[in-house]
Formats: sequence, structure tokens, C-alpha cells
Amino acid sequence: MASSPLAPEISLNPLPQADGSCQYTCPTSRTTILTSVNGPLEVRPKDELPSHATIEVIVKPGIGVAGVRETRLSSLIHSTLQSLILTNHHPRTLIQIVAQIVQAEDHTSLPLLLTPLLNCTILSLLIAGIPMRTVGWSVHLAVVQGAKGIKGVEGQVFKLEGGGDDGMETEESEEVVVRNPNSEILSRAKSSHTLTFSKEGDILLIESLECSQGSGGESADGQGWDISDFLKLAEEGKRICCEEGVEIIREALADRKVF
Amino acid sequence: MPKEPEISLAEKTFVLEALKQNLRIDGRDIHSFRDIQLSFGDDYGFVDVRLGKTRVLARISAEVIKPRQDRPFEGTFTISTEMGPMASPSFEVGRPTNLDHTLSRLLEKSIRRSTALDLESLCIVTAQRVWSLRADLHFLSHDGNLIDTACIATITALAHFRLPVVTVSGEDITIHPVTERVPVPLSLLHWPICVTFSFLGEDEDGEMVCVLDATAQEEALREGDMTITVNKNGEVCQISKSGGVAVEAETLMKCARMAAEKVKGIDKLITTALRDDEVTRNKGNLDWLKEGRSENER
Repeated sequence: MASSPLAPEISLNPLPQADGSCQYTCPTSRTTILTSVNGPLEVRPKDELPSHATIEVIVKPGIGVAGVRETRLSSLIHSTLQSLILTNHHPRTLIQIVAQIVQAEDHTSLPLLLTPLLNCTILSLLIAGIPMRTVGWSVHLAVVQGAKGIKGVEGQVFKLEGGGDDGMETEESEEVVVRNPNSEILSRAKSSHTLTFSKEGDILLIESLECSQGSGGESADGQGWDISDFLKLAEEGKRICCEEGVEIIREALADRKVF
Repeated sequence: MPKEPEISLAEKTFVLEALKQNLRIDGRDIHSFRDIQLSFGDDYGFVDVRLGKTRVLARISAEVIKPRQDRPFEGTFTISTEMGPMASPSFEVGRPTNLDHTLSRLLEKSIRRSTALDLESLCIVTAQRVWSLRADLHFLSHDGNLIDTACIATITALAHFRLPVVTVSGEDITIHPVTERVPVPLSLLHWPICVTFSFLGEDEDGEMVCVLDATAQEEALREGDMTITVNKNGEVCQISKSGGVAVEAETLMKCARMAAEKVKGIDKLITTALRDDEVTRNKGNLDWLKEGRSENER
């Protein structure tokens, strides 16, 4: 998997001071995230929970000071991790996660940042030895009309109809799904969806950020996407997360004997 | 938030006794830096500096703004140094520590007030449009000497950064993307570099032990510190000695001379790293590089 163009570049424990840390580079958009996990730590009295550990997620932007966007991202990560981490194992403690956006094509795009952030966080939690119910993996899928002429997506494209084969010929007008799109593809996308599944195939997060307006509704450009397409896309996302994602985690941690 | 663990008496005695005999825990000479590793990212103005286990990222970004009313000819330059729990769990978000304040004041004094960056060169149209530069420093890992590392990171990032070319015709301002015109480097007048000395007691001859590039352990044990900012021409830009043990004038002179010498080495290292990066960046595309230089025939 490590040699595949789809596999992210993962470096484990780049920060010697943290309990667990990970640097993750998305294969297509070159978004690089660095996360560190410390815990269980002493918790501030106001955040203390009597029978659970408090999870704190801090997202630090690459440019400027943290604002609404970072708060949004951290709350999405927080809610995803809430169902993964066994917080009842360390009551009255703090599990502190800091995610630093190191490099990004577009520092303002939520969907491009969310998937690397989630994957990186999960890997660093595993390194830190935080007890988790299961592992999850996140994938970002964009629906594009006619992927012809887009560079750098070889092997990342599949059809919505009847499952896909990598690198097949597509019609100009046909709708295809591009995995982990970069900002150029995202700007042409009809809709884009960030999906996170656990190893067992349970949905942890669905976000159709910035390209859609609410439930099964319309994309920002008014072209819309319907629920049947979405379900097919979710099915493919589930396959990617449960098979390839888990394989990536397994390989990354292979010499660490976590599994 | 958790406090840094206090250093035990045994450890403290061990470190200090060793220093009295000119020995350091990590085996370095007391007047030597750890290895400085510089690596650059995909875009201009992004640098990752490692000094032993200390690691700092710097990123320069630029945007066009309207200048301040009282300074219509000048662009702006801000340095943002926000430490988070990533560097060390004892740093809290939104609650700056003493180190935070010291660091931002020192960088301000060393880089901004020594006019390392020519702000007037950032002007596009007087009183209308200027460049606003921003240096974001991210502290990833703290093992002492954050000040010197941050300073090296900022200077390197500034030297690495390229500003898009702007053409002005009448009222219209065109900012050319990097793909269209070769972006230009900033006009840096000099490279001020901080060197921090830590004072840890006296040795057997009654002379003060002064250590360069202290680790976190040594920083926790030191009785005082002094930061001298020098450029490669040996000009002292600022000296900061806030509190701590008193230092003789003679020691100060000695330190200043040593700082000037160290800065020459660091300056050379940065220059080499920048040149290496430029070569790899333009690999197989040297014509492109030549085109951007005015000394070549067109």
C-alpha cells in the first residue's frame, strides 16, 4: 500500500515530547497535518467530568489566528472522536489533541482539511495508546462531471454506476467520483462529501461541506445531487474506509505491534 | 493544566556539577549549538527549523491592504507567536506564559525594530495599496532555546519568501500569479540573529558558567539569561537582559563577541540551505530561473 499513489505519507511520532504524534500528507492535495496527543492529563476543574475523560481538540491554522473555521473543524473532530475513544477508562482526566495545519493548498477550505485532520488524529491517538472502541478512517469524495483532462487523479476516479475500475475511460459528460480531490477538482465538483467509517463499517461522520445546502438538497451551484447517488457514493466510501483505510493504518503501525 | 515537572535535587546537582567541569549532559561543548536543520516546504516562505528536539515552523504570507493613514509609504509586517499545548502541555491556548511575552517582544525588537525588512519596499501605490506581510510561527516541540530557533525560522522564511510581481497602470493594480511572472524576493537589509546565553552558577575559578543553546533542562536550572541579536557584519541589534543573575561588563563583552562569531556560522548555514533549495526547486528548469534575473541577456 505504501507504494500506491493513493496512500498518504505518514510519519509516526515526529514530535518526541508528545505522548503520541503523527504527520500526515494527503497524496493528491499535498495537505499536510501534524497532530499531537497528550493524555490522560490533569483536567481544569471546570471541564472535569465525573465519570468520563474530557476530550479537547485544538485546531491551529497555518496562517493567522484560530477563528470560526478552526472551531468548526475542532467540533467536527471532537464529535467523531467522542464515539471512538473509551472515555470512561480515564474518568476526571483530559485527553488533549492539538492539530496543526502545516501545509495546505487552500487554507480556507473546510472539506480539504477535514479528512487529513481526522485520519492524522486517529493515528496519533493510536500511537499515544489512548483506549479506543475501534479505529476509523475518513475519505473525501467529490462528484465531478467528466473527469477527463484533470491531471493527477489517476487511479482516484470511479464511476457511480456499477462500481468502478481505476483508470478506466470515461465519457466527457459522465458523472464520476474523485477520491481525495485537490482544490482544482473541488472547484469543479457538483458536490463533495466527507465520510468517516469505523473499521466495522459504522458511520462516524457524514459532512457534505460547502458544496451542499442541507439535507439531500442542492449543491451550492444549484445543480443538486440526489439521494440515490449519495447512497452509492456512501457505499463506495464505506469500502474505501473499511478495506483500504484499515490497511493503511495496519501498515503504518506494523512495526509498532499495536494491532 | 499540568505544570512542567520540577527537576529533582539530584538531577540539578548532577547537571550543575558537570557544567562546572565544562561538561554538558548531551556531550556538547558549552559554547556550541545543536545541529541546525532547515527544511523548506512546497511553497515559498515556509520553513521548518529543528534544533535538537526543538522544532519551529515559520510561514510568511502576504496580502494587499490599505496603509495606515500616518504611514502612507509603508507596508506592514507582523510576527505572530502563539504557543499551544503541542510544544509542551504546560502551554495553554489563550493564556500566554512569560516565555510567550518575552519571545514576541524579543522578535519584535530584533527583527522589526532593527528594520531588517524594508517596509517602504512593500508599498504598491502610496496611501492606497501596500503589502501586509505576516509571519506565523508554530512551535511544535519545546526542548529549550525557542527564542533563537524562532529567530532563525523567521529570518530564513523571510529570505525564502517571494512576493508576487505587481504592475500598476494608472488606477489599476495587477497582481501577477506565480505561474505568470517570476516572483521577487523581499528586500531584507540584514539578517539579525538572536543568540541566547544562559548563566548557570560559577565554575571552580569563580567565573560565570555561560552556556549557549540551552536545552529545556538547562533552561529550568539557569539563574539568568541574556539574548544578544547580531547580524553577520557583527553589528549588535539589541541586547536583552531581563532579571536574573548580575553579569559583569567583561562577561557581556565576551558574550557579544562570541555571539557575533556564532551568527557568522548560522548565517552561512542559512545561505547554503537557501541556495540548495533554490537549486532543487528549479531542477531541470534552469532557463526559467535565468529569465527571472535581470543580469542575463534577453
